[in-house]
Amino acid sequence: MDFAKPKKIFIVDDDTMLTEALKDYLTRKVPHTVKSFHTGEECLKYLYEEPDVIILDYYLNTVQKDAANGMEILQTIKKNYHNIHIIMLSSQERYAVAMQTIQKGAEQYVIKDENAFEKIAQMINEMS
Amino acid sequence: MKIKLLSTLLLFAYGSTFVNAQQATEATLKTAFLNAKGDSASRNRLEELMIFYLRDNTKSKEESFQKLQAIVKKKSDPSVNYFLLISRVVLTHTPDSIIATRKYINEYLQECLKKNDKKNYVIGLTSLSQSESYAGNYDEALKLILRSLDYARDTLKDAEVISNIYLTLGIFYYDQHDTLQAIAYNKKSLAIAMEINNLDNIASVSNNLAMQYSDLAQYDSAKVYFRKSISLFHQFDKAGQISNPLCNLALVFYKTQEFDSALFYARESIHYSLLDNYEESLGAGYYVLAQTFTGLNKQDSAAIYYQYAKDIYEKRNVPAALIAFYPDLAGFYALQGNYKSAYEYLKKSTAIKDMIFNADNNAVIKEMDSKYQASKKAQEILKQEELIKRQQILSYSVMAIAAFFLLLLFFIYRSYRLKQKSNKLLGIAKEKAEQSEKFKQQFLANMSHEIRTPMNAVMGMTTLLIEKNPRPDQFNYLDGIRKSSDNLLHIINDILDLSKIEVGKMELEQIDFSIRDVADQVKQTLHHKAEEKGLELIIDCDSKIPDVSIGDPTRLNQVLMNLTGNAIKFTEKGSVSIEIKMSAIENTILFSIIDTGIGIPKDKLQSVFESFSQANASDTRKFGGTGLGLSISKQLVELMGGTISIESEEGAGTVFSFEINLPAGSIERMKQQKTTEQIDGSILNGLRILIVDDNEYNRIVVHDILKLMASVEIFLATNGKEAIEQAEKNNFDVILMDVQMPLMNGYEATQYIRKNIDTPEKFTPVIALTASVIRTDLDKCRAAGMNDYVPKPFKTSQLITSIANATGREIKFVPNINKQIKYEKENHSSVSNLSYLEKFCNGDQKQMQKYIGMFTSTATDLIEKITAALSRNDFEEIANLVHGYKTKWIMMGMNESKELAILIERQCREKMPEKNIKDDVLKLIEQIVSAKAELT
Repeated sequence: MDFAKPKKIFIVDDDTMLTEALKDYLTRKVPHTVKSFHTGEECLKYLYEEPDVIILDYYLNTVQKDAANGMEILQTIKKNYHNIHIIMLSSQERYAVAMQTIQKGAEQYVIKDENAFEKIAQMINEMS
Repeated sequence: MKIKLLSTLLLFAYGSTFVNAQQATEATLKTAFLNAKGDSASRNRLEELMIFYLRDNTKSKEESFQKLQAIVKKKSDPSVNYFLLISRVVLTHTPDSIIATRKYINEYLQECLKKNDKKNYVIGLTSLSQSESYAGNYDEALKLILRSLDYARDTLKDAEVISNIYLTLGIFYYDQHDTLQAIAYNKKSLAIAMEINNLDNIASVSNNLAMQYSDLAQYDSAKVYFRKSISLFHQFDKAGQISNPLCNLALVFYKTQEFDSALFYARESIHYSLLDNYEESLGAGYYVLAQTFTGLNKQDSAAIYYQYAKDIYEKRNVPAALIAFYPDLAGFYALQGNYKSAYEYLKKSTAIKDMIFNADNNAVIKEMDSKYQASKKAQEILKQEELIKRQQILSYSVMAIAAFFLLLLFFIYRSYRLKQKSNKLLGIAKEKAEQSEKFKQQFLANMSHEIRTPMNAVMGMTTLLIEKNPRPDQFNYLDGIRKSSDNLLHIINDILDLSKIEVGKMELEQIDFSIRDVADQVKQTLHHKAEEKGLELIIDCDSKIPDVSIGDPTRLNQVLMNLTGNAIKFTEKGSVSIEIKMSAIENTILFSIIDTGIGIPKDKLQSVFESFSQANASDTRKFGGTGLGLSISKQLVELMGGTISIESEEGAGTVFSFEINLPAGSIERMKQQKTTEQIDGSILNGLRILIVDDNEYNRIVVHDILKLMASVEIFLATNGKEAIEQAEKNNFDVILMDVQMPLMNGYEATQYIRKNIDTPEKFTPVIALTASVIRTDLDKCRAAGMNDYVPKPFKTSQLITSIANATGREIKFVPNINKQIKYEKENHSSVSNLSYLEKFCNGDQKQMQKYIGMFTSTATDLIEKITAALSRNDFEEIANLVHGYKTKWIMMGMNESKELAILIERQCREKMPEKNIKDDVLKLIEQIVSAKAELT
């Protein structure tokens, strides 16, 4: 069935607990290939692998102060790889930020809360 | 007397307006025809007008045809001209007329072909078929109609025309008494008419379908279609036509013994008939009303309406209607003891029958008769003289014998009448009693359904919310809702149980189970209640009790719960204990529930087991409950082949004890009957499921529960019709079907799917989700072709098991982890809570340890960094540090820390930290420290 098709997924977040947990969660039901990165720059190096989906944190510079933030990374990805689906992830619970990322080419915007994993998994399943 | 006088007066008044009524009907139908727009509407109106003339006995048929022709000429519409010819065949019914019609239509068909006018060509063919059918040439008619159907489908492709042809085919088969075929074609016509929204055809076809279903005694379907056509006729604002289906619907309700509805629709029908002076359905309306009143045993009212009906029927003088009416009227007179009138009407009915059936043979019979009469006369003259002599001798003796027999007959008849009268009274009383029992059953079934439907939504959504990790205070409220709804369901089930036991429909299971487990369950459920009152709840189970017994654990649990719950309720201090011992009789176990409560007065001991009884009326107020528990317990124990007894001393306590036969069972078997509580939902992964329910909330509950348990693709429909539409388009693995829905119910939808959508290669399992628990309803599910049913409100495991069974998935259980999430209480002192993590990892201890390790290994680092930043007043750094921990708070169940961290981050980022922010940060550090200690 099409919704259960395994996909190549990148997760970009400086929170190690999140990348690990999300990876576990996503691969539990469907055998997706998941790679995680703690900075956006690192992720950009592997874009040639052409992942189907990138789950991208909005704040990427809480650990490494000089790291580019999620918005910059989003724009870079969309410029070079138009077809990659991007799901923005953030604890920034503000509508304006969400709107901004969607305008810049993100497909979805997910707030980090208890249901975030479930929402992401569902979004990925619903992607063609 | 008064009633009879009144009815006579009314009849007189009605009679004087009768001629006017005929004229008014004619005028109404005429206007309707002239105003009709479009082919089907015109043809339908013209057909009604023709039928009117056909039944009008005041004019000759030729005269009627002239009239009809004049009316049609007023409307210059070529498509109805054919119909006029058919009318001629029907009305005048001569061989000439069919020959003329054939010639005329064939000429016209040629003309259409020349002009390439496809539409009129098909209409011409259909009309010709109808003429042939009316003239009795059925083979020819069928050939023609099928030809026009092929042409309409392949070449013309006009939906309205095709719908009309199917309608004609329906009428054709109905005339041939092939009702099933007629229904099939009417349904095709209806489907197309609905697609193109041709209301006129929808209404007509619905009415036809309803009549046919009614003929087949499928009254439920008949009702649906009558209602459909009625509601459409309402839209058209054509009262003259609405009275007919209304009256027929009333008749259906009369036949299904739903007299109230029958009365309602009969009166509606009469109302509209009077409004439009449509005396045909007026007569029928009075007739149904009379029948219904007879059914209700209101003979005075029935008599009045029989009079009205009779008057109209006789004035209209339609033989076919009279044949049906007179025997019934005779039956009514017989019921009233008026045998003279009864006989008279039976005779009349037979006379009409003879008249019709002999009409064709009349000429032959007349000829034979005259010949016979002639020869008879000659013989008679010879015999007469001899006869007269003989008769004189005989006549005296015959008279004496006849007188004796008459006297004897009179006495026999008198005693028979007396006996019959008393039998009738007894019969009525019995019928009434049976009916009231039936009403009670129906009421219980309805109530159960009405309450269970919303309960399903309440309980399901509560479960879903609890799964969403609520805050502790929210959890407490949700838990309250859950417990209260459990209680409510319990009460409903009690009431239902009682009614089931009363009618002997309660069935017991015979499975392997552990008595100790059942007792433990009772303790687990009730120990809170006991604790609240400061009571000790003790279970004392003899070691000789076998580990596994055979019986019905659910019902045993119910009895123990009832008795123990009661004991706790009526005990203020001391203890309640459940003692389980082997009885002196083999395989029999003695259960005793002993309390130190208020006790029961001696004079009340006998009545405690009666329904709705508590020792004191005031107890109900004080202690609550339905008063059914003990009565049910007693009946359940007796059903299990045991006896229950009670000993009590006022002020000292009460002992309830019962003995039931529970032979030892096998452990192996019991292991196989493993509880399904921890079923693994992911076995359903990948299924495409259609949920059909008219209740929005129930749709949400089923949808969310399935989504929560497995990755499935879900589709929704709100009634049977939508379900069929979806099933035609999609390939579902299973359909979850509610039963009672508007437009089309679950039974009908399933029947349709089985008949029209399923193929030998593809069979879609259908599982009923029904709030009804009445056996007959469940039987209906099976009969309709459903595979299984899940009662509402359902448990998640029930639903999953049923779907897995229907789709051939193997049932799996979540390994060795108690999925029951333990929630923290308000006075809980720990900072962390692993319930979320446990659920997230599906109980996988190794994975849980991984995450706990990730938290504890970074905790010290975090504490140091935060403390350093705090000392530098570097609030931005603090914000960054706590921000990166959001997932960790959630995973470790540190809800308080999560809220605190959000507060701290916001204040820091806004660069206007409040004075107490330092306190907040210190508090957070403290929480991290204790969480680390808890988790290591």
